[in-house]
Amino acid sequence: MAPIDAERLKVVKNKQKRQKLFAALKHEQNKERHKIRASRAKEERDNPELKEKRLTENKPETIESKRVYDETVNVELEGDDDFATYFENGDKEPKILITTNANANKVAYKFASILMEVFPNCTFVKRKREYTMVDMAEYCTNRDYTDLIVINEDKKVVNGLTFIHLPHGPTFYFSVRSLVERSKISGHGKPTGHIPELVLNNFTTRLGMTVGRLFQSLLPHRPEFKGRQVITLHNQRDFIFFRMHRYIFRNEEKVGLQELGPQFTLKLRRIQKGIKEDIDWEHRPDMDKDKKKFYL
Amino acid sequence: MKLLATAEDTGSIKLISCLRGTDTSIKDATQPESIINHCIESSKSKIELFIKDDQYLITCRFNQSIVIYDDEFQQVTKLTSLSDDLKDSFVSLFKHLEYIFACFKSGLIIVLKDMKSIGQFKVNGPINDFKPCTTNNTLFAYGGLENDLKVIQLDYTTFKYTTLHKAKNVSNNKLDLREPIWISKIIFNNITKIIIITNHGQLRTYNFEKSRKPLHSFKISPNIPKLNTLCQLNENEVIISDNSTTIGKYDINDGKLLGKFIGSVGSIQCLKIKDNLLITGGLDRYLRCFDLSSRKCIVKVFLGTQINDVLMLEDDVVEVAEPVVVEESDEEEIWEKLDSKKRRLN
Repeated sequence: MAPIDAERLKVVKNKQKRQKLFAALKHEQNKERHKIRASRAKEERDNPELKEKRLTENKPETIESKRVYDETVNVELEGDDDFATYFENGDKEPKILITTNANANKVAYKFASILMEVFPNCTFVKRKREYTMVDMAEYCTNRDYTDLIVINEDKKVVNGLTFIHLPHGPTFYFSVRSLVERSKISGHGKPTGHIPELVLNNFTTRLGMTVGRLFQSLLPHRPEFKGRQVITLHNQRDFIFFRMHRYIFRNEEKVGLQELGPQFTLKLRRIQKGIKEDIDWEHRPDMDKDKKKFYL
Repeated sequence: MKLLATAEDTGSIKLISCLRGTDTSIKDATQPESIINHCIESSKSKIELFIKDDQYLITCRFNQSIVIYDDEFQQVTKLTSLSDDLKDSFVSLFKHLEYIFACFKSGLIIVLKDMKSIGQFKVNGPINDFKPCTTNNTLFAYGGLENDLKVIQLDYTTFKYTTLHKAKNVSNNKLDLREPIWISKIIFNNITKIIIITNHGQLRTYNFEKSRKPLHSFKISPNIPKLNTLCQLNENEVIISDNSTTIGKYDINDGKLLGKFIGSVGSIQCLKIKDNLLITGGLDRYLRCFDLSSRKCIVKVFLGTQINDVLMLEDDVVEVAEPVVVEESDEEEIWEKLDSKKRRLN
């Protein structure tokens, strides 16, 4: 039988026959590819330099590597922003108040209790309908709170988080998605009351730095290394992934990780100057048009 | 061109020299020749407003002080503790005749002459804007939160004023509820034409010869938030920015949007018009220049800090591109060919 090629396939009018022939063609191609890979692997096992050379030459292109030029990446911070007091005054610990939207559902309270385990020095207050966020910010400032977190729940799903840095702002609004509770994570541990360490990944632009500084200012200056707990905020393509782990150094090379949960993903929607005043930055749907442009 | 911008985070003035077509967000585009920081202080004493006199730069700082710099950005004089209220901030600064007026939100107005404070007076506060009349030297207009538009006549010798006109609020709304007042910016051409914008998203024009109520009151857009800045383009058109990202050109006679200046990501804090250029600066840390006729952004410079006020010192000479001459001979040939085809068909 003559070898099958793509051109011959086009002539075959019977669909089933054609599918059969196509499967055979694919099988042949796969076989050939596996053969090449096996021989290449053998060559590279004998000569590891070849592998290195291949890997350096064949770098796959990702959206991140094709990222549009942004002049604000890794710029030095000029002057002092609203978070300057936290960084200058090393003794003052953050004090956080957590509340929900008015008339919140059970899930919002559940999420609040999760956040209280994550951030030290937190207080939860049930939301009262008569006080707006601006009122609450004022009352919190009077009581020496440094941050106010408002959980937003809609249709029994937690869908937003507002962070207000006190006393003068700024206000951040993030949308929340992909929330996985601790109990749903297999092999999860329970967090202890130790102050966790914080890992911030990929907050490179000027806007990203502001967001990074917000998360820094939510945790006390000195983590308790004894607890071996880490909060990771990993930014990838403007999505911020929240994870919490406990680590252990098994030996000099191996590190063990145990996830403590919860897992959720944040997306920055808005930054406002002051307490919900002028808009500093706002996500617009047309910003998603360019897949290679990132803002954080 | 040379531009000045006040940096909020550093309390400094940035001197930017760049050419038309500069865009820092594109790697291969023209980059600014230089960005130099002058008069650095801290964010607690950031410059809120500034104007350029013939030889001096007059700045109003957040710590209730007025600092005057010379052409080389060297401090000449500093007037401190001008207001008793530590939370008071400057809302307006302008030169009128030989006087410089610096106005506080509380309604306190400081008058300077020859770099010295020669008097002060207080109008009913709080005010969000205080503007002189462009056609009558003795008239001024002001307004603010629950403080409707008023026109005063000032006596320059004693700095005492008399209120000439008081605006009347618009009629109650459909539910018979009173419309709140919150004037944010004023343009005072003459008694028959005062334009204001409000923090409730309204554009209003007053003619005090006809009525105390506004001649026109347009809610520019139903969902529009607070209106921040206003400047006049010509007799019938104004440029307005809001506390979101919109900069729009509006007709004052019908409140219609005539065009938008696109590009800004954060709220605009200042708008200035010079010749055929609109200069903007805001919270997104970019200084932009737009061409007023085409509404295209011709300069975009990242400054690294939020901008409170901008000023253009000098513009570069515009190079007018030579119009491309279309060779007529080719066109004629084509027509001839077409003609010949037609004949054949016939």
